[in-house]
Amino acid sequence: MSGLNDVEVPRFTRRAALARGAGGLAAAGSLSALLAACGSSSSSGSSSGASSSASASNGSASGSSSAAAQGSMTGTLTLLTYPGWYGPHEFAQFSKEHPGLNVKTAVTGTTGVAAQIAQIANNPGAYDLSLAGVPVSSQMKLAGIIEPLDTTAIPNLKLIPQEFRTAFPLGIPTDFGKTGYAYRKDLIPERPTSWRELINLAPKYSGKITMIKYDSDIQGSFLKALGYSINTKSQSELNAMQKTLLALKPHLQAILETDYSKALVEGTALFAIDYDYDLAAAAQKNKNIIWVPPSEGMAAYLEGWVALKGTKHLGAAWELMNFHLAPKNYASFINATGSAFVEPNKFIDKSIAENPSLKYTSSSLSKVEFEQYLGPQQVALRGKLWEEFLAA
Amino acid sequence: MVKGARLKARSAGLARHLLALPGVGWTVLFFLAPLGLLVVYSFGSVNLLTFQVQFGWTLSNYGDIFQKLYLEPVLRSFALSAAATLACLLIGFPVAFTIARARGRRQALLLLGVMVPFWTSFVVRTYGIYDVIADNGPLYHLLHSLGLVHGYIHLLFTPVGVGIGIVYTYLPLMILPLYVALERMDPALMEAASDLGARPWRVLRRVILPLAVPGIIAGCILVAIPATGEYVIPQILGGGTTLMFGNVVSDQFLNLGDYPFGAALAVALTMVLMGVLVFLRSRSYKAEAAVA
Repeated sequence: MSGLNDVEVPRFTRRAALARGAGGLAAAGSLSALLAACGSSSSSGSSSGASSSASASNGSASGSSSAAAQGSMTGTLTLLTYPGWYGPHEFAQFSKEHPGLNVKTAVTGTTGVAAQIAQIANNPGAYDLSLAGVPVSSQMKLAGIIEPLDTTAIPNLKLIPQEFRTAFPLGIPTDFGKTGYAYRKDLIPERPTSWRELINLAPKYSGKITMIKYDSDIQGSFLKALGYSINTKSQSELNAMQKTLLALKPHLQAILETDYSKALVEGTALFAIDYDYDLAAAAQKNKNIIWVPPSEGMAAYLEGWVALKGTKHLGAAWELMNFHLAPKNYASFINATGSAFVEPNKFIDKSIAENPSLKYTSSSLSKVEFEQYLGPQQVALRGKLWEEFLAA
Repeated sequence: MVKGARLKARSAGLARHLLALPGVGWTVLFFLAPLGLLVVYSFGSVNLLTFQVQFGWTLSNYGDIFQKLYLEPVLRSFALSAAATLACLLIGFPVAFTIARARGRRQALLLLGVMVPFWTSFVVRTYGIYDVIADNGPLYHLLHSLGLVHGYIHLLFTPVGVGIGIVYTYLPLMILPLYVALERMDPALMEAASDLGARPWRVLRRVILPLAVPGIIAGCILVAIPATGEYVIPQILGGGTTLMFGNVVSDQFLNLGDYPFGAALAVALTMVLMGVLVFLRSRSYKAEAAVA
């Protein structure tokens, strides 16, 4: 259990819409396992860390020499993302610094990898950039709807620690998050620390448990609960996970697409299986909420921006990515969303930077397994299992 | 002279047709064309890598509908829709009868009361119900204070909660056609039945109900058909645990990216509901003819 109550998260903008862009799939063991699996990367070859760029660390975006050579540097860029999943004044500032360039956002209303890819693939040219998780971006690459990353056009990419750059090679990594659970310490006598304990307590607290509606995160969590990799392709392990989930379902109060922790805050639910950033915000509202990073481990996502095939503003897209990673801009994004960050810098609020459930340390990642792309057949299979779980 | 009159009549007919053109155009463009596209999609397949639709003529999407996985939400949708329609009828009939028997300003006020909820957004009303039936919400406190329930009750995120939402939302659609049917009923018929010795229950059963059949059928159609394909209410009040047909269709488009199968599910539901509609309308015409 980590002390979410120790540190407050002051400006949290809950992801208003429907979870992240990666569904149906799963992930690697530890971050290092993911890195190994990713192999050679198309991202920057530089190994310089977060403090390596002096020009960027003062808060201004480093200029990109090759960006202007790639496509029009005027016009409007369209970013497919979640509502509010960027700095509050970020795009206005970008337009101010880049006269003739504007940014508009399109909301992804999807809750799974398949639907997000379908949305992009069926509307070629409609979007210039998209927020995507590792599985989504990997499948996009296979589907040929993603532009290869030009790291030379994004000098600020060097501010991101190498492990994240390697793990997210097709674009700029922006944030990551873990799925754990929280309970109300004032309403139950138990002090669970594992997935197994939660599963065992479910019949006792039937109807008092809520869960996020996101296939890969939930399936990954319950694979971890059984001691399996969240990226397993084993049919027997997936069947065991499904059996556990189906046994838990009668005890669930709700499977939620929004307001993940509302019932927990109000006390009408005693447990919430949810993302770290959301539970950090919930703990701020109610000090009796205790975050549990389960001892068996946690499923995690890593997401970022990718440039899409068909964009007429590729140079401008790289420029926007570079701008997003400038320390002050990146900090404004993290401070607004309260997400776990991939680019540590001095502008990030202490309440987030020092929050044990959000900050980036090797120990905080030691029990985390990141989602990986497992191929189209696995996407379909896991989607089917999730449907079966929801329909049961 | 006759030729001139014919020409004038023809011009008037042409003008009438021209007047209908915007409405027809709108319907073709925004109803028939999307419906046609949905039918075409339903025979296609999806590329698992790109999730792009490949048009073809496979029937496999329709075959998949009969899997147990999808039949459960279908049966749940029909059961909830039937229960909600019955509840709307039982609640709505006395209300419609009262309004039909009221006169003047009182009747206008009662009708206004039925229609007022429509002045608010459907989603907002559904979130209103969310708060009313929430644990420790106003309904819980009301039932407790009246001594009708003891201890804990849980309505939100249950099928009962979804049913309450459907009944609340669609009740006016039952009351209004019932009111129309009952309002045009001659009160002298009830008086005559009473004068001939019929007790109130017999008057209701033998006089009022038969005359109200067209209204009952119209009300049932207006409630049952949209309720069967309901998406928003189970989404908000069902908490993801009470899946209805609309949610399954939505999942195919928004979660799994399987547009062809989602289209097949939607087309199948449309066909079933059209069958029900045709059947009920034929009964309704017969009932109206009998009343006339």
